[in-house]
Amino acid sequence: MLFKNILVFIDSSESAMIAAMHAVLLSKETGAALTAVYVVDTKSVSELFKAHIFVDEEKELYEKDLEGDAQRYLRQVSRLASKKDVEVNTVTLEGSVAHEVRDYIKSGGFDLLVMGGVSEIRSRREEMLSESDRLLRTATCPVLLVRDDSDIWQSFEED
Amino acid sequence: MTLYEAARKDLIIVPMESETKDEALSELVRALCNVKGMKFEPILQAIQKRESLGSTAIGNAVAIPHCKTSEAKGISVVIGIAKHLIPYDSNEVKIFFLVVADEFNASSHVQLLSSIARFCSSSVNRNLLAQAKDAQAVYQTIEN
Repeated sequence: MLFKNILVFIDSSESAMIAAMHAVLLSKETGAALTAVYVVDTKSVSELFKAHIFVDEEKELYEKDLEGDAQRYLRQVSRLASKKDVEVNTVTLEGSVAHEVRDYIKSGGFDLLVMGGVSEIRSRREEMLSESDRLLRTATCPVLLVRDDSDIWQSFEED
Repeated sequence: MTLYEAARKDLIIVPMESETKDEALSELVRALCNVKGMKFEPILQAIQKRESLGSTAIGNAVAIPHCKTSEAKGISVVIGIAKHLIPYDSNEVKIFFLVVADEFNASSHVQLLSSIARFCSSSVNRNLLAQAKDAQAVYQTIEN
């Protein structure tokens, strides 16, 4: 078996859900263990606070909202996995998105990262700002980059 | 969501007509509501409520007034370049980024604010915006 331990990176984008679907199907076909990880971007919130864009009240509120996002999207992944009778371990981390995922790949011994969310680069500056792009470039294991794929939805809706 | 993804040419005001902070906030909110069909008063009130917690002027002639409200539709940014420096609490501001978000996109909202903050950390970007003659020039600065 080529892959034994798959990690799928989840964020608040639709393409992350498509990546999750592919990861679920891959796990089902290969028997590889599957983990879904969402990083609550507390680093950005802290930076916004330091830059005086957020005040105290907002910092707490947004961190809470971001945690809510994480739980919501990971629940969605669990539902997708359940539809295909695949077990998925869901993990929430906090901090700098690309950095946290990179560390988690190492500590968790993952041999494949599945991710979506790398949009078409329309601006040179955009390329430098995307956490997904940073993760794609710096991941320490093979990466399966999932493009938007309408057929995959059908595969999950048929069941 | 990055600044480039969020920016729209029809939500860039160059030059702004306003001379005061209150006028500037109203001008930005009005532009947003006209283009996106939102209600002016509730959005303005949400922005003013946030301002009452602390100034959103971040230095270097930049302000990022923002709010999260159920009256919003998705996430929007309005960019305004004033004719000259406008008194804004204890600062003076020429470059405005008004960010208004609904209550369901915390991650995208934070990403957009971070993207704006990073963009404005460059003095080159700030100077290009401050000198922009029209919306196209602002958009090109963001794009490039």
